[in-house]
Amino acid sequence: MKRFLSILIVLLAVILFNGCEKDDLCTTDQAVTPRLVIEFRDVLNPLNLKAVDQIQVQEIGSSELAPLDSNDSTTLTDIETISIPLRTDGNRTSYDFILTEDGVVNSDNIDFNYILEEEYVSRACGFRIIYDNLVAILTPETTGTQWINRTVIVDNNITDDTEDIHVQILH
Amino acid sequence: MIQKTYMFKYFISILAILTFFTSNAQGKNEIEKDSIVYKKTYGLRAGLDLASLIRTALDDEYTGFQVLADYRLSDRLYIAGEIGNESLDRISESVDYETSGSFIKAGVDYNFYQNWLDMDNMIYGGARIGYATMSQTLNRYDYNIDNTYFPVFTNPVNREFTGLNMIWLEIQLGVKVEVLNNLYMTANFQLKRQISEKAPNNFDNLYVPGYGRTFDTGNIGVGYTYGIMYRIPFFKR
Repeated sequence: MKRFLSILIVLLAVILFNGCEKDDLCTTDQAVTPRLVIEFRDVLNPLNLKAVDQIQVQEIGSSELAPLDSNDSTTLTDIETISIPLRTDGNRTSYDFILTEDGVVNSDNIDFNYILEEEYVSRACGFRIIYDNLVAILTPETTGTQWINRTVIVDNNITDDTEDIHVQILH
Repeated sequence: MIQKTYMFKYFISILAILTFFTSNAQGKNEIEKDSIVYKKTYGLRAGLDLASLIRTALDDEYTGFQVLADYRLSDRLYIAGEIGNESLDRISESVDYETSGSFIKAGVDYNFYQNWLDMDNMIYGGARIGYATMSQTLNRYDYNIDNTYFPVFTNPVNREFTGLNMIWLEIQLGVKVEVLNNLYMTANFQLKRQISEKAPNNFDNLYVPGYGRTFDTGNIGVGYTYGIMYRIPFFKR
């Protein structure tokens, strides 16, 4: 009887020790640092969306193109909405919006300024950033034509990138 | 999903133990016919949790110490409790943290096992209310991002949250076996449910002394103990 119970103790300990202390996985359904969602609208009639022919976005100083959608495409054609990441290590991200239309490349610069706010997600995912007080500043060019006419902030508080539009670019 | 699989493991273990219980209860009728009455020893049983001591020796990230005790009230019922402290300094993929604090658990154990002759073993179910008070330090964290255009930003910090606590309910399934006169080996499995907690602002209690690790989803915790106990006999009845 005692032998039986001793075996039971050992079994119990082995089973339990084995089952504990596994780390969780960060799954895609958990909250993530949102991207900036931009919508292209017609400057003549701002109620209407107006697609851009071919768009690429690049941070100033970077050699790589920024991802524009959830598939991380860096070049999109005939598109009305893009979503791009913002820096989480500072209060500003400066992007060149590179439009290619009829073979002509036109690059305009917009500075996005914001306040970083940290939010705890989970032990597996860590934290995420929420961007508050978003401001978009279109850099004026002394020479050449600018394809972007102006920007409109629709939502200056970026907490979610699946439903909200944050900025409109009128062109 | 992963968590569910683990829970299943435990349920299967419990089922297996319960099966042992039922199959063990068969011999009792024979004993009751016997005219000799075996007296039960009453006294305070106290001991050490070896699981936390062994883990302290093996796991660099962990330090723990736990004292176990029970006191017999009647043939089958015991007042029981545990007291101890634990600290865990954990490095994980997204968050590095450190928790340390103390806990106390109090409740009862009920012996389901029908002892033969003068044996004094237990296969028991226990109920506890647990209270832990601890502090937690966030040492490093990453931001959860869905792309790698900007480098993953790692924040080394030293953010301490003090005055945290948790209250939980716990059920235990276990055995206490007399291996030498008045010396017992014990092992149990614990299933816990959070009742209330004081968690850090904009962070979470990731480990709670006496409760164990928490899970991102749900208020359920699990744990185990194995150890050695000595009974100081007071009287026989």
